[in-house]
Amino acid sequence: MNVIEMKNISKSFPGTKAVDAVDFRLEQGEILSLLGENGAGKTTLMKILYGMHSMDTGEIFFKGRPVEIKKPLDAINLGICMVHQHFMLVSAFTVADNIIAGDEPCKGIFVDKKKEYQVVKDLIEEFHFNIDPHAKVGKLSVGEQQRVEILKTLYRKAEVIILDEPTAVLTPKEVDDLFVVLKNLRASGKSIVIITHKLKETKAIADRVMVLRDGKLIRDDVDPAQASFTDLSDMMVGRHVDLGVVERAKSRGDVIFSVENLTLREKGHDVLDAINLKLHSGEILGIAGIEGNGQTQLLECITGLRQPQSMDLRLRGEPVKGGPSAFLRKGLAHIPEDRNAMGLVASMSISDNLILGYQDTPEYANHGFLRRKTILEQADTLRQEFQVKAPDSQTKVGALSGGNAQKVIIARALSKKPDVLIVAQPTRGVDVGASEYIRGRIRQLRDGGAAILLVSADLDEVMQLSDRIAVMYEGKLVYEVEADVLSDVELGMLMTGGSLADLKKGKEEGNG
Amino acid sequence: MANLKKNGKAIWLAVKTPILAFVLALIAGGILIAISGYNPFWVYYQVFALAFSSAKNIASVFAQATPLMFTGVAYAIAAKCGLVNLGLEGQMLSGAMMSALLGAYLKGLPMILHLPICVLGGALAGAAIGGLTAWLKNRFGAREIITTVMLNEIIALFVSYLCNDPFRAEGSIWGMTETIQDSAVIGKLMKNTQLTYAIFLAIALAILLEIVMKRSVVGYKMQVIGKNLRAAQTAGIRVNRIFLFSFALSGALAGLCGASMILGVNFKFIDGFSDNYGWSGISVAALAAYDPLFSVVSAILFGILKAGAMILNRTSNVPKEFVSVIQAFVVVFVAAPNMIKAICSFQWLKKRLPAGKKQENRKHKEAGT
Repeated sequence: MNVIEMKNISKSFPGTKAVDAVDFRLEQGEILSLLGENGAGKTTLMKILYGMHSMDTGEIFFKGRPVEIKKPLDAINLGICMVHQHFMLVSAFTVADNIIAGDEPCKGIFVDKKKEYQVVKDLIEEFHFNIDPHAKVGKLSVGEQQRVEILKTLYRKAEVIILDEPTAVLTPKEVDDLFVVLKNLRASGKSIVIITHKLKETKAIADRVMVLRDGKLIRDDVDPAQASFTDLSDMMVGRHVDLGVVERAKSRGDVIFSVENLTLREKGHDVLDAINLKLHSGEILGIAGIEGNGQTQLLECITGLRQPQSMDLRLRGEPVKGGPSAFLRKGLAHIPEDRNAMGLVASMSISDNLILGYQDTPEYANHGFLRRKTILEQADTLRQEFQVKAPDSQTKVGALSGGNAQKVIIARALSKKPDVLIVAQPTRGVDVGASEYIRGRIRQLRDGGAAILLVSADLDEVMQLSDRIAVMYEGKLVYEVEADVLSDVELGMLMTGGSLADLKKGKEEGNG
Repeated sequence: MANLKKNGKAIWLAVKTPILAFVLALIAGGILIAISGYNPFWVYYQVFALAFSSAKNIASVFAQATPLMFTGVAYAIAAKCGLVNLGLEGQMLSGAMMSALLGAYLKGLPMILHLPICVLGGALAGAAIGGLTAWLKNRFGAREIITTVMLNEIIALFVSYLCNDPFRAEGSIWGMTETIQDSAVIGKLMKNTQLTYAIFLAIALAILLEIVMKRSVVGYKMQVIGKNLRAAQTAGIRVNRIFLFSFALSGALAGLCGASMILGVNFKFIDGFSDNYGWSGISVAALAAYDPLFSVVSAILFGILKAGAMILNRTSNVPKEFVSVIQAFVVVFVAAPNMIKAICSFQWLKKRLPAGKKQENRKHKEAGT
C-alpha cells in the first residue's frame, strides 16, 4: 500500500524549475532512497511534502485520500516528520526537553516533568535507542544528536520519517548504528525516506531507489541490489563519471611547510595540543577526524586567522607571521571550510569574488584604485578555465550552484600558483561531476609541486585524495600513516579515540 | 539592446523598494493630514506647487536639501560596511560647535585661510567623535548602535553647556556663541535665501565618494565587510581599520553638515538650532538605498517637502511637522521590505476572490517571495 502518493508535483523558484512534474510514491514499511545531485530537487520535493514549500501544481495523497499540506504542522498532524540536515536542537536542554519541546505534557501552566521523562523513557525503550533522557544535548556526539532528532519525530507519532542527508556528518561506525535504528523503525511499520547523494549507503540500506535529476524524475523503481555504483551514478549525473579516481603522488619532494608545537587554549583547556605536521612538496596530507575535534581551530591558526599560544610555522624554512593577508602574500592559499560564510560574498559578482584577499596586490590595484579591466579580463579567462557555469563574470556568486561557487574559490586560490594549499571540505555540497573535477584540479596542483593539506569530514574523500593521512582526535594528531594502509573502519576507530589494538581484540572476541 | 533591458530591470529592482516606500510614506502621511482635518491632496499639491513657484522658493528647496545631503551621504558611507551610525546628530553638533568657535575666535586671518580652517575644523570634530565610536567598537566590542545614541546625549548637553556658559555671547539671553568673523562666512548663492556654496561641496563629496565606493580598493573592502564580515576576515582584510576609516569619514561628513549650517546660515552656534539634521540623514540614506549619489537626489526630494511645507505653513495652519512624519514612515517602510511586498501583492484583495482563481494567486505569491 502506498502511504504517500504525490502526483505531478512542480515547483519553480525565480530562474529555475526546482521540481518538474514529478510523481512520488512511498510504500508502507519501506526505506526509500531519494537519490540525486545537489540541486536535483530532492530536498525541495520533500519540503513540499513537509509543508515548508508550497507547490505550483500537483496533488498529495496520504493513505489514498487527498490532503492539503500548507505548513509543517499540517504534515506533523498527519504523521509526516522530517529530520533536517542541520539539527534543530537546543544544546543547553536535556534530551527529554528537546523531544517534548513544542508539544509538552502539562500540568496547569507548568510542564509535567515526571510525565515528560516517563514518556521519553518509554519511547527510548520501545525503539531500542541507547540514549540517556537526562543528558544535555550539547554533550552528545553527532550520532546521538541525530537519534534525538529521530526520537522527536517518534514522539510526534510519525509514520513517515524523512531524513535529509542523514549520513553527511557521521563516522562509518555511526552510519552503521543509524542503519540499525532505521531497520528497527522499518520493522515496526514506519516508512522512511532518505535524501542522499551517497551511493554506498543507498545500496546498503534502501529497499528501493528513486533518482531525480534537474528536477525531473529519472527512475523510481531501481532495485539497489541489482544496480551497480556506476549505474546509479550515471543515472544521477546523466553522463558517465569516473568515480573515485585514485592517483597517488608520483614524486614527493622536500618538506616545504612545517608546523611545530602548535598549542591553542580556549576557555582553559587545550583545543589544539602540541600539533606537529610537515608537508612535502608534491603530496597531499589528509586530516581525518570527526568534526569538532579541533580541525576548525587548526585551520584558523595555520592560515593566520587566529594567534595560538604557541606555534612555529615555517614555509621553506622561513617563519611566517601576521594575519591572513601576510599568509596569502607568502604563497599560502586557503580554501575555507565554509564556502558561503567564509569564502565568498554572495551578493558580489564572480569577478569581484575572484580578487577577494588579493585586492591589494599590484596585479589588481593601482594607486588605491582597482584595475577594473585586468580584473574583468582575468575573470573571463578563469571562468572558462575552471568551467564555472555562469552567463558572464558579472553574475552574482549567490546565483551559482554549490559546485560552481566552489569552483570560483578554487580558481581564485589555484590561479595564484601557491606553494602551499590549505583546503577544507573542498567538495561539501558539491555535485558528483564537479567534485571529481575539483579533486582533479587539486591533484594537478600537487603534481606541479605544491604541498597540500586537506581537511575533510568526508572520510571517503580523505582516503581517496590523500597520499598520507593523519588522524585528529580531541585536538591531537593521534596517528599518521601512508595512504592505503588502513581501512575505513580502522581509521574510524582512530577517529573516535580508539586504538587499532581495540579493533583486533574486538575481532578476536567476535571470532571466539 | 538586450543588455540595456537587463540593466533596466536590475535598476528597477534596486530602486523599487525605496520608491514604493516613499509613495507609501506619502499615503501614510496623507492619512494623518486627513485626520488633522486637512485635505491631503490639496496639501501635497500646495507643497509641490509652492516649492517650485518662484526662484526664491526653489533656492529654499536646495537650501533645505544641503544639510540633508551631508548627513545622508554620511549615513550611507557607514552603512556600506555594515555600520549603523546613529550618532550623526552628535557628530553634526560637535562639527557645528567647532566651526562656530574657530569662526568667532580665530581673528586676523584672510578668508582664504580662515574659511577652510573652520570647515576643516568642523569635519575633524565630527571625525573625532565618529572615530571614537569606532575605537570603542574595535577595542572593547561596544556596539555602535548603543554608543552613538549615548554619545549624542553627551554631546548635545555638552555643546549646550558651551554656548550657555563659557562661550556665551556678551549680552545674549538665549544660549548662543559670538557671531563668526566675516572671513569665515560661506557665501550665498542667491541673496536673501539660505542657499550657500556649501551645496557644491556636498555634491562634490557625494560624487567623489561614489567613485571611491565603486572603484577603489578601500571601497571594495568596505563592500565586502558590509556584505560578508567573515569572508572579509578570512581574506585578511583589516576590518578594524576599515571600521575606523568609515566611521571617521561618516563623522566628518556629519561635522561638515554642522559647519555648513553655522558658517553659511546661522553665523553662530545657537542652542537647539538643529532641525534634526543628523537623524534626517537616516531617512535620506534609506530612501537612497545607501548610495552616496542617490542620497543627493533623495535629499532634494525631502528638501522639496520641507521647503514646501514651510512656505505653506506661512499662509495656512497646516503644521510643517508632517514632513518629519513622512521621513519617519520612509524609514519604517524601507526597513520592512516584506511589509511593502505584503501591501503591494494585494493579498487582502485576493482572499475575497472566488475559489477558482486560487491556483493563480498562489503563483503570484510564489513569484513575490
